[in-house]
Amino acid sequence: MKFVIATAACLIVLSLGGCTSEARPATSPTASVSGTPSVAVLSPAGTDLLEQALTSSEPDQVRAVLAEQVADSWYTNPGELLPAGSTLEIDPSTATARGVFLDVYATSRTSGQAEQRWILTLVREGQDWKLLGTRAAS
Amino acid sequence: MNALPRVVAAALTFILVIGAQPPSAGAMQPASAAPPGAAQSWPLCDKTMGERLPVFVVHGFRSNPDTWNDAVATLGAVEGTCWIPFDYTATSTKWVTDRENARRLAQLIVSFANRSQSQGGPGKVAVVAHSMGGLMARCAATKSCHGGPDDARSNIASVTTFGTPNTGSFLRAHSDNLRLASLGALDLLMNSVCIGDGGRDWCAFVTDMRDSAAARAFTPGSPELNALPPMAKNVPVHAVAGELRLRSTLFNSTVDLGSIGDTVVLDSSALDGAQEVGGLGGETTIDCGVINIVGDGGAPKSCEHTSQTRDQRFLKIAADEVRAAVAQVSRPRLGHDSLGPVTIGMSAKDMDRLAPSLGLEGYESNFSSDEYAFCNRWSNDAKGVSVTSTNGDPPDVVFDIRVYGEQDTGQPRLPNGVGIGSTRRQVTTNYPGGENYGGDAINGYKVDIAGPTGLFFVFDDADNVRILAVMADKWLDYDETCG
Repeated sequence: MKFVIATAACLIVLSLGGCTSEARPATSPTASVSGTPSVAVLSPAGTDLLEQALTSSEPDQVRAVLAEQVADSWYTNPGELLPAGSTLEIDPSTATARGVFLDVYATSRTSGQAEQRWILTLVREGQDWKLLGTRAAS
Repeated sequence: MNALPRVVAAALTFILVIGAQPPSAGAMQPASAAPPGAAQSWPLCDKTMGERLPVFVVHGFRSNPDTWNDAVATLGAVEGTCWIPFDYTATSTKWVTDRENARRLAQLIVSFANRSQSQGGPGKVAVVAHSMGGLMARCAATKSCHGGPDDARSNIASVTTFGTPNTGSFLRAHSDNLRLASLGALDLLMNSVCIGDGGRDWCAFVTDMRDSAAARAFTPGSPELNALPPMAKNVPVHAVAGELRLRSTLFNSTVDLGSIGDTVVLDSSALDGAQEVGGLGGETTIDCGVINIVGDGGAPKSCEHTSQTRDQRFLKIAADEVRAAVAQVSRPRLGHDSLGPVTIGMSAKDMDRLAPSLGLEGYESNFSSDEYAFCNRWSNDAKGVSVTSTNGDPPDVVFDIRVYGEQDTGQPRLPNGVGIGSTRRQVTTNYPGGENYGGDAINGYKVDIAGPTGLFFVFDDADNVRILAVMADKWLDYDETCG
């Protein structure tokens, strides 16, 4: 099993510099979701990578930043995530840990259209945060 | 301990064990003490259950009979039934072979079936089971599984299962080659919703099913599952599965992440136990809808594993299955054309009593008194039924013939060489073997009877067939007292 189910312990490790894939957390989700959400770290490099890949027209680049739970399914029929030419700006200061997830606000801009706010839900895979899903921010 | 106390202790043990008899014939109470107020609104099988079909509801792992409380309105309304909420709360985290589980269920099934028989009922029971309750029924039907003295397989008319992990729960699939991609998604779903009280019950159950030692038997390929025999072949099982799909949204794209069954049992496992026998049984998958693993913010609400005993779609299937079982096993009644279709068919004992008033002659039973047929031996290799009028020569009587029967083998097969005819107008028709036999094969067959000997059936080479009923849409006017 390659899925990373982080625990509270893992989150502590994250705050100190990240979880490694070898340091796989326990699999009890209830253990991982206790406690209140807290601010978590999303590095500038990771932010840039996500912003560029998620607006890329190259499916392979997009796939590289998708969580494995969604990557294969998306890749079999790679639909356009955002309209061509869109930009995405992630605000790492809003990153909040929610269980094993990291929620972070982002804004997409497309020429001729109103900008749109999103909440990106990320999960940790090795050293990287990968995109698991999004929802429109109210 | 010296020898004497040892002997006394052994004797006491023997007495205690032997004393653990099935409930007495009059003990028509719920299978064990359910919590006060629980399941009291069921139309329970009591001393006057009469000809109603007793139906057991069997809860699942880490549960109790209260799980069926919201099912009463739907299931309890099925005509011709009475109900027994089987309670094994105290041992519901133990495997089905625990003495208090399948063995006791088998004991009660046989007991209630016998009581049904003695009260003029079908002598069988039905079972509606949730989750591990379906495995309980499987085990109860086979003596070698539960280790008790009661062989319940011939006493079960039908079983309906909700989310039964026949091949285990995917939550327990720990080895890499058994784990599913969707399991990882389920993990994430749990992490998404199992915060605060949003999905506490569901989260607790799923977590317990996955992580507790008590649930280890649900691991696919576990020794416990491997040792569990399949349901006895003569018992129809309608297996109902829930199927929930997970998805994620990536901006403007929606990604289908696949099925997670009912979040505990995949549909392939839940449906694995289905078997059709004699027009009963089958399989149904209920669409539980789609849940977004990051966006919906709550535990699955619709037909996930822990809610199936409250889900009307599941309950309706169970009600239909029980209703069909009632129709199939109900003892036929004498009737009168003014009261609807006439049914002729009774035990030999009843036949002896009623034949004169029916004007039936030539009747000679070769069945024991507790079998529902009247057969004459027409030749060395044929048996049949005759219905003979003695009050003249009624013209133009039309019989809508409906023959219900079964072979002692329990196999739903029409025997070779069934013939139907009358003494004056030969309308014999042969029905080849291998067709469905539960009434359908010759239901609705019309024959005009114009003679005093009205109708006969001949079953060549069919020694194992029991005729349960012959129905006619019109009968003669000599049965004013039998309606």
